[in-house]
Amino acid sequence: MEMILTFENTNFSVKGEHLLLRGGLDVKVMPLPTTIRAGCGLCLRVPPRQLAEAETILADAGVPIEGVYSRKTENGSSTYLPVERGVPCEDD
Amino acid sequence: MLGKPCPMPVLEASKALAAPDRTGVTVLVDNTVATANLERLAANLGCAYACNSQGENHYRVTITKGDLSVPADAVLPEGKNMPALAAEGAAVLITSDQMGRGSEELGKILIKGFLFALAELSVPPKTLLFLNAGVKLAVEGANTLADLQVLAAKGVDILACGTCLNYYQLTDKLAVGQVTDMMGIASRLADADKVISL
Repeated sequence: MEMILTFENTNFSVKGEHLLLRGGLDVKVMPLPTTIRAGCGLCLRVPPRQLAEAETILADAGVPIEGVYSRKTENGSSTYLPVERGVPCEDD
Repeated sequence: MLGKPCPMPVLEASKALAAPDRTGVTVLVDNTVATANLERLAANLGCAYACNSQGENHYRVTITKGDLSVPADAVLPEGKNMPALAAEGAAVLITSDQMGRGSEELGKILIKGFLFALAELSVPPKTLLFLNAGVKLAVEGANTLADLQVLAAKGVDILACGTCLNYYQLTDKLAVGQVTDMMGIASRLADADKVISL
């Protein structure tokens, strides 16, 4: 299983990938699945154990995550389920 | 959705259709770009699509789940993230470590998304050829390696230009596929049913 991070726009995806790679995370890029949102876009994949760290790195850099999903692949078909966000918002 | 900017009709329709108890959705839009986008959404989700023009700049789009007129095998399985495109017999020629011209950072992230999408195809291409800076995608430490390994496991021939590996001093770093020369590249391109060149 992988965790999928979606962003409001491509610039956040690009910046997010850069930050997570620099942070040493095992981050991968994929096109945004149609079942999450129609239209074009890129999202990032990280292993579940690195989700909290990824959320912290992005929050510290001011890159907002739009949504978090789990990706499970069975028989060549992937299922995406929304995940409740675990990290409290520190914006206030 | 009248007067709403481009992505909104598709986003809102997509959200509405995600509810399991809904059988469909009706959307009013004011332009044909929006109707075309909604038609594509319906096709991607295996839903029926109907559009009635109700005067100038006024369209009523109805998307219905579980259309019986669509053959069962044309309906995507639940959670399938993209249409099952077949690339049988194709050779994909990748001549750069980025996709398209323009922003380098965007191009580098696009090529990663493309290789992932290629690995998701129901029928992958026959051959992937890496030339010039494209060879950097297939060497140790490359972020794209996992997707290339998926493709290799599906039987795709992955070939990297030896001259190019040598130029970038990466000859001993190739981590997936094999080294080839220009004769090999030329013959693969000539043999392919179609060539997809990036």
